[in-house]
Amino acid sequence: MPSSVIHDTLVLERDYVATPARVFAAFADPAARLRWGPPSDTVRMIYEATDFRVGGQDIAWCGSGEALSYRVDTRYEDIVPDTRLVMTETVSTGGVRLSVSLITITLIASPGGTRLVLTDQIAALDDSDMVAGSRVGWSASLDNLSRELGLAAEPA
Amino acid sequence: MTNQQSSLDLMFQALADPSRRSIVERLCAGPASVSELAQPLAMSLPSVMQHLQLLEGSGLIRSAKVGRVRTCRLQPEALSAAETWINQRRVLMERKLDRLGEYLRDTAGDEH
Repeated sequence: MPSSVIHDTLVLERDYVATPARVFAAFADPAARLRWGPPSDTVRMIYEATDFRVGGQDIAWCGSGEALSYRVDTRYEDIVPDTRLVMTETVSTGGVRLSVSLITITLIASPGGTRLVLTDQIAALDDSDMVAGSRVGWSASLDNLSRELGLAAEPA
Repeated sequence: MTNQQSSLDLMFQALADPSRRSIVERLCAGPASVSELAQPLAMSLPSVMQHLQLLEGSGLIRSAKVGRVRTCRLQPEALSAAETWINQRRVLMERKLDRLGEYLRDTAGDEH
């Protein structure tokens, strides 16, 4: 099965009872990130490298159990203190890239503290190694549906 | 209507409801019992069962009963690896932001 890519955009919002400076510090400080970054208590995370500046790159490893099987490469593209972060993030496992994301975090002061908006624009990579031969994926199904309805151009 | 189209219709129908989408998102994180799935939903258990039956009929999930506990799991073949990953990532990012909130509460007394 040939490789393919699927795009999606996640937009998540939160209101935090904390100043934008405190919320920003939680992102800027790798030690703080280790405390809130793992999604649950069973997921461990370590940093191989950190460099919080425009052009700087982090390398993190995370996973549950003994083997930290997920590698996360982050490159900081834009940093406006207490206001905005833009970074690219690549997640891979066993040398296979799962996704490349463009992540934007904006912090806006609010009466209660800070409104955070996180936008994750994902390119999810369907590597040929990851897709079973007989699997019916959405993309194949939608292609077939489009052809049946006469909406798509002739396949190459 | 071909077999392919009718199964597609079932899949689209399954994902057209926000409660069913949240069930699928929860199952991206691993199998769960019916009561686990029902807990975050503000509806009666029979309503939850109806949603689960529809999801199972669409091929998105399958379930098995062992004793008195029915466990549901995602059928990985129904979604491509990339879609599954996007769903997992959504759950992951939501949890991270929840934990950021806990961290900010826990460190509220600290001065920088």
